Amino acid sequence: MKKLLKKMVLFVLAFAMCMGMGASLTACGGDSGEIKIGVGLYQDSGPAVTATKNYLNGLADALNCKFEFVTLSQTNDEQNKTTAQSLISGGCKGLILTMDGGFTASVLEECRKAGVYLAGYLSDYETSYNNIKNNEYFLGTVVDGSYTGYAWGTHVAERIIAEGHKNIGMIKFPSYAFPHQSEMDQAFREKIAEYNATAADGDKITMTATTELQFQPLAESYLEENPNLDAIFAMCAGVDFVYPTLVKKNKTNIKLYTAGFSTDNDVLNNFGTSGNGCIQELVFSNVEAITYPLVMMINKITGHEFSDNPSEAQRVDSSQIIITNNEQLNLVKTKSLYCTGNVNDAFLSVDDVKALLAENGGTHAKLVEAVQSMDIDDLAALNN
Amino acid sequence: MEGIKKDKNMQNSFGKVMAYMKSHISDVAAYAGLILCVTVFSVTSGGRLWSSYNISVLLESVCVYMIVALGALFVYSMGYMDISVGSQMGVYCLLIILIVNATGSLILAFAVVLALTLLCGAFNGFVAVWLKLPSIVTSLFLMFVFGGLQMLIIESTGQNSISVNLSLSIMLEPWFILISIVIVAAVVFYFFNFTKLGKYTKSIGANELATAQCGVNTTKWKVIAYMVFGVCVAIGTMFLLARTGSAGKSTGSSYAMDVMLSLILGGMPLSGGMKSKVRSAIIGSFTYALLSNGLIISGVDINMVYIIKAAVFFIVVAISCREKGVFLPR
Repeated sequence: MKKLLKKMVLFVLAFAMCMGMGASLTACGGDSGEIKIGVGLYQDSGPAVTATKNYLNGLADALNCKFEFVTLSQTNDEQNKTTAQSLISGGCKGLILTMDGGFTASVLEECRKAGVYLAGYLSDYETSYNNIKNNEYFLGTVVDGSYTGYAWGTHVAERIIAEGHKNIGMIKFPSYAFPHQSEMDQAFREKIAEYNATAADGDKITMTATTELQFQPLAESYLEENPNLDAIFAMCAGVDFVYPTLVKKNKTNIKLYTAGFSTDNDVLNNFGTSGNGCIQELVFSNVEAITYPLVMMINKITGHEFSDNPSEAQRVDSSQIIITNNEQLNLVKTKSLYCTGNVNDAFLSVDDVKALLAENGGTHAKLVEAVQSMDIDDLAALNN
Repeated sequence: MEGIKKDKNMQNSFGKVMAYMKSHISDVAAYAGLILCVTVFSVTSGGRLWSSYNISVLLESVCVYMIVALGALFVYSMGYMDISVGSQMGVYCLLIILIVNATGSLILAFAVVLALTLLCGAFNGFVAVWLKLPSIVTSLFLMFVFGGLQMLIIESTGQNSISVNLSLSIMLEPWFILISIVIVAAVVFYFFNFTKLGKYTKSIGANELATAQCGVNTTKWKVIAYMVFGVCVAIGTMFLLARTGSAGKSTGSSYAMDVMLSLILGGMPLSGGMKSKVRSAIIGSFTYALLSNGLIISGVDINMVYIIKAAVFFIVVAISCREKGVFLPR
């Protein structure tokens, strides 16, 4: 009986293999040249995810691409490698990953084995960039805003000075996770120091020592230890980690200038001059920035190259939407792809993206310019 | 007359097949699960399941499951379990990285980890007996200790994950993986089927009291079983680390459940006993890895993969659960 069962097992396995091989041949024969690209995001839901998926799916037919979306783990390298391997096995010719880490080198090795390309999206690839920028299978990355944090730090300091706030709380995430927030901190302090050098004694601005949040909400004791704050500069995602504590402690009179964005009505209704007026500045990166790795990848896979193609993979800055008043917020709420999820609201149309491809005369310089021309003024101009 | 005889013979054969199927329902379900996965994914993946790249990927992921599951066999055959193995593996990965980066010696790192796994095995086995606690409680304790250690170690480095300054790529070569699996499986097969260790662990799973009354020192064999599991955990950890050459806060976290699922999918009764077989670890690991890999390469939404895996798991358990009251582990 056992022998019979074993024979049956062997027969079915052999049958399955034949079916598989047959299907493989059929699949190869029926391939219409569609480029399958795996997109690994660090979130599985939310407006940014929806907008990214809608944008790419909106481009898919025109670019003859198909996109496979997966969610990456922020703490499990092995799981990320397994996910990347599955995408490659599933026929992806390129991977666009929003995360970098100890796993990147091993994923790139998998890419080499399978002849697949890797590119980054809204990530500076800080851990790996210097080691992989000359790897032929790494095509570069588009950064979440600017690679350095100096510009935004200076900008917020200028606003704080203009608004006349005197006691400022400084909050950021740990440096190991967000090293460039130290640059924002430094730029902010330098600008304030410059102002204090000429200000009258009663007009000078004081700043707390910078508190590092370990990805936990701001402790209520922080507000008791700093009772006279006028404003907080939260270089981290203050909407999620600082604002709830201000609400809980009934301290929404403190003005919050923060990175990050939310489509939550509790946030949007208390921005600028609306509601409690606590939140004064919000920042987010455009999902259309994914155009950079996408175009680089399609060029490589289709065998085309920019006339000004860089000799090593680039780490390209992208422009961000910085919202400083209610008018801008309304514009973003109704006209930005991030908020509406409508591909027709994207900065770049299907034709714009096609024109950026090397085969259609696009250049690397034009591509970089495209992902760096998406700020709030550009959004306003687009909708006028 | 001949026609009637033929009918009777056919009925007898059919009856025999049904009787065999009934008495070997776990084995049949395990084989059927594997065959079903192979058949379905061969078709739905458009043949990509059999690409040389995917076979090497499958080998890479099967390897860790299988080596750890082969060690877990000794523990599960007693009707016991160890849910600390995932967090242990995470900490061991970090320790290996730290030791290798500090000394350059992989052998020293492996020796330290092996010593720790043996110690934890002894702790799990001995304390459970000494304090008369269910094995799951002591392993739960270890799980929390190692989970905390993992967080402390990684936070002390000030990074999200740390990487080893030594290439372990040879451990990902298919020939190396195959040889390692074959050696571990052969050693486990020998110990499980031809030595006192295998006989007593199965016997403890079947009836611990009767085994003790036969003069067997059950405490001693329980401790040994857990220590053997520890050896396999140490080996499995090396392969886990080789996969990315790095480790972080969640490295290894899913392995306790993955190994348990692999064994159950392979037809292992959670109550242990004489029906425990080495092939449960081998078939189960392949089935589990195939499920994860096959669903994704077939284009199934990654969010649906967990639901489908849960459904398959439920079906296999429902089929292989033979008797009421002996299903859950002690």
